[in-house]
Amino acid sequence: MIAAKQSDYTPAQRAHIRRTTWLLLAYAIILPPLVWYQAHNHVSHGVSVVMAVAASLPLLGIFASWGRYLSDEHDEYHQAVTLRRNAIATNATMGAAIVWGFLQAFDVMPLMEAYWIPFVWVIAQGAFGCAPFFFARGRRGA
Amino acid sequence: MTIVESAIQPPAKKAAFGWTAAFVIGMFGMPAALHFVALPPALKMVMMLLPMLLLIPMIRAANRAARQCGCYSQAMQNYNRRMLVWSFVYVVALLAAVWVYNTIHPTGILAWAVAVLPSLPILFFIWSMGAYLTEERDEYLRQKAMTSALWATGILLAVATFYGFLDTFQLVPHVEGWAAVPVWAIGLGIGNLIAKRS
Repeated sequence: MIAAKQSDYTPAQRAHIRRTTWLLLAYAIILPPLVWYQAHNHVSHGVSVVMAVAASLPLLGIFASWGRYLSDEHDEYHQAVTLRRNAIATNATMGAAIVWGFLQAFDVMPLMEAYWIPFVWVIAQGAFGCAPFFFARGRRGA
Repeated sequence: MTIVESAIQPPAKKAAFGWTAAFVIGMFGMPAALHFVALPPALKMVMMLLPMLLLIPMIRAANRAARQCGCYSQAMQNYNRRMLVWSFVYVVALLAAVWVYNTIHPTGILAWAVAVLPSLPILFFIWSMGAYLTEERDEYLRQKAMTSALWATGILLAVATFYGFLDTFQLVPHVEGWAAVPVWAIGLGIGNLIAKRS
């Protein structure tokens, strides 16, 4: 059973999930109209800056929420697990960024927008978070 | 060391700061100076390697300073030794890759190999940071390193998100992915300062 009950979470986890949900909702509402407006209108420099700031604010809020969670979490086990996951995701992201970066520098791969770095970090974090679950299932299945 | 000797010797922290300043000046100053001098490209590359030698006294001074303030460990010594190795290998690999790229103009698999070559020492650097956190037995030092790394990651993610959207709205040019590592390293420095103050 994947879904966990609310009571399984620590108060800090519940607060983090609540904050992240609201921020993701804000992101999903804000981004599509901004991208559509940029694609279909000639936007001035100043307005573009405001649009870029508006699009990035919910994501910056999510990263701030991670920091707040680590500071609020009093359960040492959960804190250690999260720190470990963050460290692994950071190393995996920087490894991918450096290899891709030099492939770009030597004209082997195309240039990509910088927001792919946080995207890869979030995916890596999720993947390492799910890894124990899949390994446990694999062991049970064997 | 006697009291008289320790009074005569400059504090290790000052020496570490001095060597760090010399290294930074050398690393930026040498390419700037070579820009105005007509030398064969191979000789220029060798000259670029010279300021790297300042890393050796810099690391030694940093180790001495850490020993003096009581925040020195075997894991830190291993980390510093690995740092020396990857720094030298990185500069050599980067110069070799640039030389091959400019002279042979490789294509296909060779182009991939040349592009991946300078990233290998950086991957070793990333691994060595993880290894330090695993090897460090002193809980205070590990916590300090962890806090600094968290700040660095937060700063990198924030900068990449913000810059990425500026890029999406065509306000700034594309930036190469390797820029993530210097941004993270600057964040690590800021994280160190924050960890020291708290």
